[in-house]
Amino acid sequence: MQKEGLNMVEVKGVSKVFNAGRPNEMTALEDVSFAVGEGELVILKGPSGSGKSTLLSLIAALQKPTRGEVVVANEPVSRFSEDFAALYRRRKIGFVFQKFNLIPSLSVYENIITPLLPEKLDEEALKERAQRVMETFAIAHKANEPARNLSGGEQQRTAIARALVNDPPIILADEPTANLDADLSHAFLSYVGQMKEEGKTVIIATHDPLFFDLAITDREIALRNGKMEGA
Amino acid sequence: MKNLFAFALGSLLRRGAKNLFIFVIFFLMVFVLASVFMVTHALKKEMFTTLSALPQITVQRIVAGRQTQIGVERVERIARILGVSQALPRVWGFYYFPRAGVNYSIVGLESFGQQYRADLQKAADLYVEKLAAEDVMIVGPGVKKSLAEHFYPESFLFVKPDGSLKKVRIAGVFKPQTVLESNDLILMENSLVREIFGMDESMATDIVVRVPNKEEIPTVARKIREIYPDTRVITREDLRISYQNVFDYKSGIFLALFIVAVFTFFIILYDKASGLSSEEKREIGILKALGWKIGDIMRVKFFEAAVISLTAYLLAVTTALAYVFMAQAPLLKHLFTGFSVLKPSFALSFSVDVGTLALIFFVTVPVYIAATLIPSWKAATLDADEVIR
Ligand SMILES: Nc1ncnc2c1ncn2[C@@H]1O[C@H](COP(=O)(O)OP(=O)(O)O)[C@@H](O)[C@H]1O
Ligand SMILES: [Mg+2]
Repeated sequence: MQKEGLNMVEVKGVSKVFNAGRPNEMTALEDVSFAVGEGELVILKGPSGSGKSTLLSLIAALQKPTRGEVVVANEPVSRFSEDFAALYRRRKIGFVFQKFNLIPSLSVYENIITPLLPEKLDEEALKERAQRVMETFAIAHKANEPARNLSGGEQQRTAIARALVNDPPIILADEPTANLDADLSHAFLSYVGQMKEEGKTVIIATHDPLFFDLAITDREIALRNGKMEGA
Repeated sequence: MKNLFAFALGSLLRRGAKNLFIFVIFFLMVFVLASVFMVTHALKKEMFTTLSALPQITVQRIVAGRQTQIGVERVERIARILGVSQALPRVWGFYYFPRAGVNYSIVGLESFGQQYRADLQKAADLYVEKLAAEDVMIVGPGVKKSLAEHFYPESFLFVKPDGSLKKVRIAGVFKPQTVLESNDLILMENSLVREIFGMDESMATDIVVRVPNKEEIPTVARKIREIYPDTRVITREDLRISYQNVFDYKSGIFLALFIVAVFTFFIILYDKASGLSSEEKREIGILKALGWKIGDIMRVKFFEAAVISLTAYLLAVTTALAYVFMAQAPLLKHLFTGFSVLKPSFALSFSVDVGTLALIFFVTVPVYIAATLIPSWKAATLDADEVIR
């Protein structure tokens, strides 16, 4: 089913201007173009403020580009309506946020099933899906623990499990190791290897040198002041 | 949908303290509003039936500013006034029973029948022969009960003004009726009432006058005053107005109470409408980033607000129903029944003003839901990219 050379994510001449026409106008991205093939691992690097997070949010259709378009699996996701974009995120995207963004008062299990709640799934199906990812990421023993009580490593694994619970083809991670010590950062790296083995398309935005020049990386894209370096 | 509902319930519990506070305020406000409206509605109804059973004109004699006995010879003179179809002397009074610490209303049969007319006729007719035959009385269920408690199960010894005793047998008990509050009532022959109160044959407690044409009531009242300057002439309209005044005044007290409750409610609304906590905003952002539609988020917010406001409303209304009609609104009722001169005790008979309950519903539940949904909607429609940075 994996077609050779199929582009999973295409970013075509994308610019993003915040507060256009106002004194605080800010061009976060300028004419960015690249494509990511299915099952590829891409590292999006660049200093803080270079536009990495903005780019990820455009790919996730959390906001719309000022110019250009984003095409995912041949769908113009940057032109989707709110509801379509939500559906697209739910079915196609697993997001690992910087700081993980778990809901602190919910348990590990409740956090993990959150992306599935709008779907028509019964209790059984929810449990089954959660169990699978909780076991993969060794967090099942904490299923009923509120997220606020978790250690950094446990939060990380819960966040990854949540991103993968709906079995999305694309994983986006934003500074996933920014708040982790060296051991946990290495652990994350091994999870990335696991995702790639499962055939996921993975895009990681980071300025952590740990991710630079990895053997499993298919491509590195460097951003500076919203522009692609060497473009 | 079921999953979203469960999520909403979970959210309510997660923010338990805050939601409990809102629930309590909501409950109290609806409870106070509903109770007061139920009591006033029931009392107004009661007042209306009482008033409609009252004589059009009551004539009392006043000596030294106090009501005193009135000569029955005046009945004839009053009956001759143009427009008067009937004038009747009434014999009645309060009898204090020290051991029970209560006042009974003793009412002479003729007077009684006239005062409450049709309502009473049913109950009284059954016993009329018995009353005439011997020294017997018909008592309200409350009288029967308190006499029995003090070892007078079948008859009672009344103490006459001269200290001598008068034994009167209980011939029957009024069936509990809604319109007629007969709980503390004792009904007997006029002559027996006179004997117990030590009243002369030529005297009555007051005189009631029937005037078929309502238009003529003020004229007749004025004429009676002219003929007998020592009388106080009370028309049903006078009573209605004074009842209404007492009523309105008492209602005013509650206006102040409402203002406090409503004020608190609006603080909550303001707090809700003026925006979400950063935690709530972040949560909405996370949910959006995880692929929730705005509609999904709004559904959860709606469930949350609906569950809290509907349960508070329903619980408050049922509690109010129980408080008013089962417990007879302790505290509240007494604040309203200051006008008990003609009718010592009021029973709140069950009558629900659905319109008022609906009004309370519409000024609380949808308002609260809207105040919750609007800021959530604002937060949900903003770009959710903040959470990912
Ligand atoms: N919603 C926004 N409004 C205004 N400026 C923004 C907004 N989002 C991002 N920016 C600006 O765009 C630039 C790129 O930000 P970001 O994509 O977060 O960079 P990075 O993730 O590489 O650190 C920054 O200067 C940031 O301040
Ligand atoms: Mg960033």
